[in-house]
Amino acid sequence: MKKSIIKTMAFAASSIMLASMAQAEIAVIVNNSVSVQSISADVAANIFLGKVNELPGGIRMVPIDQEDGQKAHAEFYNKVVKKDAAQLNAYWSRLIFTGKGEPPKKMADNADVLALVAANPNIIGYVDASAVTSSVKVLLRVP
Amino acid sequence: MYKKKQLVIMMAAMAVAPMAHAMTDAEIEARFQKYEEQIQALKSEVKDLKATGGVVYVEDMDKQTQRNTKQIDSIKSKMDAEAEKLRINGFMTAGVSHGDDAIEAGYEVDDNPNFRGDALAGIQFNYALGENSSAVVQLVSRSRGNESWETNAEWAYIDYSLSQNLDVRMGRLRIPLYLYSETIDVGYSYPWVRPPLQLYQTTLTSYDGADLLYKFSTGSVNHTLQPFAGSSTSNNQTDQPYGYFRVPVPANPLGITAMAADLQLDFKDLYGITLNSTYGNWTTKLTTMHLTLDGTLVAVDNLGAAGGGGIVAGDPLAQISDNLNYYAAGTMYDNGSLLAMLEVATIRADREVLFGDSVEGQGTLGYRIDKWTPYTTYAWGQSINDASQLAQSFGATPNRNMKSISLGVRRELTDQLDAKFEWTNYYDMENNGFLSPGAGGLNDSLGDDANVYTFTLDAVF
Repeated sequence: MKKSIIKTMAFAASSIMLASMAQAEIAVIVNNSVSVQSISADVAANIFLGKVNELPGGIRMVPIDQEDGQKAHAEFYNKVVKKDAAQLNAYWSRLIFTGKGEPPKKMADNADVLALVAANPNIIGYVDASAVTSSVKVLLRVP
Repeated sequence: MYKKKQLVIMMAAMAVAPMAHAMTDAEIEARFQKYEEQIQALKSEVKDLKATGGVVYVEDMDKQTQRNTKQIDSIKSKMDAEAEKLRINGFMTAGVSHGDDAIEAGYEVDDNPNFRGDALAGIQFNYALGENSSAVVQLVSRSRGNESWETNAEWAYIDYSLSQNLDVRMGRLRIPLYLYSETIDVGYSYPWVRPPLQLYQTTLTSYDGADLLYKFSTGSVNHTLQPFAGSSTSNNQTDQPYGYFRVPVPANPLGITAMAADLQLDFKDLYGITLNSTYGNWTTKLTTMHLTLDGTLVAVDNLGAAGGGGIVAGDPLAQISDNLNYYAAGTMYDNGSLLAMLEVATIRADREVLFGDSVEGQGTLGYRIDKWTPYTTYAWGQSINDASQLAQSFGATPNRNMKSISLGVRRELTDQLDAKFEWTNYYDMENNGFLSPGAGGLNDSLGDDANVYTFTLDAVF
């Protein structure tokens, strides 16, 4: 009985740790000049999957991705787009090889995305929420 | 002394261009870094000399150094721009199949392990021709019926964006009939080893013409409307790179292959429209297409009694001219775990000269568990009116009757590579003579049933 309680506690502790490790919040960001205040995860996913190329209200947006190895990349596709790397490749292969779309260009890291978004009114990106500065506007936060 | 150094830099700068292709970006970057450092070092050396007033060529050298720096910068930016402009993607399928009997339905299965039937490799070049246009060429190589591999341009077109949501494309394009028609060669893009033959086995997969891609939304449903028009000429079947003749029409043409007749068809007045819509996990595709076919069926061998008696090589067996209308509807649900698909199509011939009317379809269910996706597919083809005029003149009843059931599993090996194993049983083929699958295709001893086992690897890169 005692043993099992310890086990349970250890399990609880480890799951809390895991949970907090996985809880890197993701922020979808645009230039401060963009008039839209917020978007849903579906809209963000559609933009990054090339299904739509504008924000609600008709503002043209070009998505900018992060490199595959970046933590923000994995978090964003896991939480917002809800596709893993293999599913993404299958998805994009249907567009690339029919000439109907190209995956977004990739930047090295959070800092590069922030700099690009801060300088360009038509770029939409995502970063770790902890990296967000006042130079950009957050349209969506996903814990 | 100084002149010597100057020369070295110039040579280095010149050497960069031809060497560039053999080096990686990182190496080039490192080299540029080195040159720039050298230039800086020289500059400061020159400045020092200037200050002490000890050299005659200082002015010249300064200019030269500047010129070299500019040269390096321009080579660098040119290479960056070039890399940006050209995108190369590829795909590949390798596999092995084994069937109860020989099938020549585009994939060449026989009763020995066959490594060629499903093998193919494709490479796509997409070159940006400026802000709004690009040139795209997709080359696909396969061996299929021939000893050697042959390469065809399945896509070769110029794309011009008229606006952010409207593109016009002209050149060689794929017919967008069914859900996976446009990526029929890209195994990684679909769950099966090969898309169900009843629907996807068509002669015409590409055409020469133009299309429009118009993207729009209604609420949260995203659409792409794709009108297309063009023409196409089928290769003489003996020249077909795949060694088979694919006709997207009710009668299965495999019998023609077996009887060694040539069918040279011109496809004219090909036009149609496709509406592809996505909503959340749902995708639907609606297509209608018209085409006029015009051609002659010519005997290659002396067919003798088997072909209807007294036919010798070169005899025109039939003049063919007909209008065909296609109607196809497909829907797919994919939430990452559950995959469900249903596609139906019907083909209507005006005069039923060569082929009659038919209905075909497929349903697929799959479930993704981690890296495994087991799936099952039921597909059918059914002739509505068996007796085309051609069939009647040969006293045969061509049909497109064929059912199949498949069980398979897809396993993701890496993010860019999958392995698939599939068992398919084709049945109810009704071995019925000249233009039926039973005549030369899926014929076991009874001519109406065959098992095919296939293992493939699909890669995208």
